[in-house]
Amino acid sequence: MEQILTILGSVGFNWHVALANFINFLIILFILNKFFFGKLGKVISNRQQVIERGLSQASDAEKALASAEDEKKQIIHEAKKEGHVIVSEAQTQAENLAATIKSDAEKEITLRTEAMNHKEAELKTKVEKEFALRAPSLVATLYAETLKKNLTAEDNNALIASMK
Amino acid sequence: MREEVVQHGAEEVHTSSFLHVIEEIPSINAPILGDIGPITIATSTVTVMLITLIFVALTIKVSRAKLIPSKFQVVLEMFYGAVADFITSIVGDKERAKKIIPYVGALMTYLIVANLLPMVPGVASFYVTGSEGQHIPLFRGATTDFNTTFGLALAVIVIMQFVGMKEQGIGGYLSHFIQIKQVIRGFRKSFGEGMVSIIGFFVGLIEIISEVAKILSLSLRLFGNMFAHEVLTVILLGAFAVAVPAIWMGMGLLVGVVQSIVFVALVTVYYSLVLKKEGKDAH
Repeated sequence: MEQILTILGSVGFNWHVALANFINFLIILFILNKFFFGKLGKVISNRQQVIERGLSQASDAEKALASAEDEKKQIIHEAKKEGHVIVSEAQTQAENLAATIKSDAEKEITLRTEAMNHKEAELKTKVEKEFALRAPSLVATLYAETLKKNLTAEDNNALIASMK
Repeated sequence: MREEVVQHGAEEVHTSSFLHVIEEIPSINAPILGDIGPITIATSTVTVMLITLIFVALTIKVSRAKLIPSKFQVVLEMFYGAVADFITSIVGDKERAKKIIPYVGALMTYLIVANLLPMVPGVASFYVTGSEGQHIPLFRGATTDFNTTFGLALAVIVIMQFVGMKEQGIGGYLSHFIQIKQVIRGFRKSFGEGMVSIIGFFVGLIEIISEVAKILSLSLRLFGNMFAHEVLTVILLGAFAVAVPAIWMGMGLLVGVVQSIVFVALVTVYYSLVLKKEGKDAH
């Protein structure tokens, strides 16, 4: 031990100075450990956590966006499908309605045509009857006017008979 | 342009000239300035106190560290990152490295500042007058005094013992040095294993000596390199005051950083040996 102390003495070893430096270094170590490396480590670790949280949130948001995008596409697809169905149903309904209207109109036309034909036939009959009733007098009048002579009923009949 | 030698009776006083700066070769013994109780204040102690003040100022600045860093904080964080990477590369495991980063990082910061502080222009210009009227540099390079490097190495090894006990438990850690349990267990198994464990017991005792040797090897290596550098600087200044010492002083920056790294690398290896092994390596 004495030899070691002699050797250390030759390089300037002094217990008191070494003790002072030992204590000084412990103080420095405490300061740096607690307030420098400890604090910096904490700040860096906190920042890393914030960044990781941000990245994770960004990733979640990206996933949510992708899912919303998918949902949007799905909704649009379904809406288009539904639209097609609605349009197709409406078209069918319209076609049916048009067919019904057309058929009703055709019926109406037929009915009215028949009614008109019937009326026309009635009128024709009536006119023919009236004509038949009034024709002799009219013809007589016509003859009379033509001949400037008033014909009697017997003359008229005779004339008609001669015309047959 | 030769060195002037002025005769003062029997004494020869060497004076500096433009091309030769004559300085006394620093004594291996740190000049003592006085005592405060049981603590002796040497010039190197004053330097360590100055370094302490620098670190106090630094920690005040760091205490205002924010999530969004200032330019200065970025520089400090880069240094922190470099130290953390360096320690992790030696320990090989980020989680284990995290446990010793504050200790070893503080040591590295201290050593870099202590080794490079004497290079700062003006620091070496402060002198005090000794009891015999001689000029004593007030801020001697902290690591050029063996007492500083010894105190440093002693503190590092003492803290290492506490870290070891914290990691492995007091009994677990001390059982590396005093292997009585292993001897009893060995003899319970077989006579042969008992004899082998006796060898282990003596190896454990040698480990205690090796712990003391670590203090000496760490402190002498750092002191030797830094003191030799200072002596050579003074010799070179005496031979060539211009240009050559500048190159050597530039080299000094490298020496200061390299010696810090060597010291810290060794300490990291010592610390990694006392850390509890985790993961696949756990036994």
